[in-house]
Amino acid sequence: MKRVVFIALSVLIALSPVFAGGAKENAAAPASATVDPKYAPYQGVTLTFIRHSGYEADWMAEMAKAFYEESGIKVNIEQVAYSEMKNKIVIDISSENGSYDIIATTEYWLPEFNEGGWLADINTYLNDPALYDPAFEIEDVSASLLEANSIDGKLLAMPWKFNSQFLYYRTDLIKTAPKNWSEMLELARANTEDGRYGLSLALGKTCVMDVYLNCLYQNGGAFLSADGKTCLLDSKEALGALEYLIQLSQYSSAGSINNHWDEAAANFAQGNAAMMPAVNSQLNNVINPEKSAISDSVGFAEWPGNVHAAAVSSTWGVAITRNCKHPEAAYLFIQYMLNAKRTESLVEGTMGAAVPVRESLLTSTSLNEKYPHFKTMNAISNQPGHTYVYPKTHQTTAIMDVLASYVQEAVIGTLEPSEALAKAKAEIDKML
Amino acid sequence: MVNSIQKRQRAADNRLMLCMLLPSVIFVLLITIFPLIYTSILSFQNYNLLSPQDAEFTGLKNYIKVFSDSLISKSILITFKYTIIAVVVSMILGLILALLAASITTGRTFFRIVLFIPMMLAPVVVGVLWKFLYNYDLGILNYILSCIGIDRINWLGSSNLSLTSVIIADIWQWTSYTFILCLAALEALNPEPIEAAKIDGASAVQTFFLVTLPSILPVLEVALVFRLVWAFRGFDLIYSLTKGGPGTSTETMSLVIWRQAFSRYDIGVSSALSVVMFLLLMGLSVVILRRNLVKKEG
Repeated sequence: MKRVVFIALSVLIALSPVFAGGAKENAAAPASATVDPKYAPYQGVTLTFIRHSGYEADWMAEMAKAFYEESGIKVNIEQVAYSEMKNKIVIDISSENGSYDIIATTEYWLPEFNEGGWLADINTYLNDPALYDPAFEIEDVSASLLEANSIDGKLLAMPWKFNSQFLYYRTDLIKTAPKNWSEMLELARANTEDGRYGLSLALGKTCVMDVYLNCLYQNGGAFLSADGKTCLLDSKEALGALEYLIQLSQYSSAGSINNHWDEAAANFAQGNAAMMPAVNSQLNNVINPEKSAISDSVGFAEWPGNVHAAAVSSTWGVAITRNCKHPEAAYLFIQYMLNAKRTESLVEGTMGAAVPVRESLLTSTSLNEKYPHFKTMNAISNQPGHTYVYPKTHQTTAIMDVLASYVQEAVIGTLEPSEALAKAKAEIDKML
Repeated sequence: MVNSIQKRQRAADNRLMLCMLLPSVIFVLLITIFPLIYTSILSFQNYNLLSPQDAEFTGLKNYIKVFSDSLISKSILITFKYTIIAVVVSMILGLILALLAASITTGRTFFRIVLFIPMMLAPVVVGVLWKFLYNYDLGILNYILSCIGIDRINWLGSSNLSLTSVIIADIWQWTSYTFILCLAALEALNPEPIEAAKIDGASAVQTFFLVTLPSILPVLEVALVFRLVWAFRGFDLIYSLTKGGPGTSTETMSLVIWRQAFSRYDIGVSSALSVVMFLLLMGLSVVILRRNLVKKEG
């Protein structure tokens, strides 16, 4: 009897994966006769798209479902944790037999991927009349952001959102946003008291270099020389920027050194800090009443500078890998998903956190009224010298790792600022 | 006549065993030995993932870099420190818990299950869990400390304390492994020598050190080898807790290997460091297990 029960249980466990799937409704493939002619040659094709998990991933999955119903092209979206995404992408697309057809990528990974010859040139498909969709309106996409996603004339990723950093501040504690470093420090000091910090900073290993680079550019400094061959961290602007960051950190939680954007945002959203310089992607965590205790008292401003306001900016885009056997189908999906109307639904769904790269949406009166931070984002992107991009080298990730380690050492005091910058410069120069 | 029949039978049995073992052996060769050989080959090349077609043999250049780079040397020291403390403490704690669990009659199964739970969690889950616990502002550990009038501790943000904090999380997870093995060994012990020792007037401490401990030593040695290997090459827990920071205070060899491979795309140096790690672990394992084998043969 016991043996029978054991065997029955074993069979049940072995077969359980078969029943593990939910009762999901499968999208229906369109009838061949109703399919748009541009999709017809690719009906039945299946593509794999990897991106990091989150609301946008869910939105893209909905787009993929709708796309399949319209075109018969199936797009499977693999969602992974952001921290694991690049590793998985690199392992896959560096192999000639990789399985990913489409990837989400930030533009500072593009030089590395381009060096390996791992991505397709989207211009090939953009200029193909057989794939043209008038609803896409490429001319509406910011030209500078398309340029940022291009290398040697090749468009390597189609941007879908724009990331930058600005200052979130508590309007119930601060009447006027700071306009320079002195005011910033003064407000941080004045608002640091029992139970509250002046600032919530993200100084964890994946963020601290962004925060430092902002300070560097705000101080009129530069990170690399114009030819990209020399690191300029031995300048007085670089030292001044690091010393300023160390001063700011004194008005932030001691735990900031291990905080990433979402942890800094959680601290701010709990009402534990008066200001938070952070990326726009944290907006949802801060203004959503379900997640934030201070959602109705948040203001936005450019992060003020010493010489001028400045912020490092980047885009997230969608790229087609060299392993994709049907790059035209991949492009059709990108074109479908990222047209103006659908991008607007993404903006609305993220409460404006997904700042669009389309001029019509960035300057739309209704969106600007609805999302006050759009004004700040427009100021950042439209004023010359207020936006900086990451260095475009194929060693950018490694350079950022080095910078992060040494800036952290300076902030926690294990190295003097000048020593930290000297060591960082030495290592980065070797890489360049 | 009988001997030759027996010999033929034995040979047939051996062939049958070989055939049954062969699929597993081939599998192990493919997933273990082949990658090991390939990694060793890569360690002598300047293999860059961005341009693999340009890879060339460079002799010992990668190994020279491994031993001359101050950050890599620092990571080796941090790895040893992390491994020794985490393994020794978890072994001792596991043994103590097993002795306590073996001495109780009711609730032994309950304690066995409860203490086994941490080991069932993935290291990344443990890392995320402890990251919440250690959070300076919102973590429960600092909340409890503040309730009893102690200042909050910067568990993961202090270069002096971050490694200790990571070790604590590791010990929390892996003490259950040594506990389970020690408990099984204690339960399998022949009670007669222990009773004889008691009759002879040995104290509890004397009985433990002179009778119990030598009897379960082989199991402890196996547990030690596994714990050493896992702690030495641990990655997930440290990455999810600190990512090697602040600065490089928790950057172990595994993290350096990962950074070399996936940030710098330098597969050559990454492979060289992997080979060094493998040789260190192999050496330690041989030393520990050889003692065990030599004793058995003696």
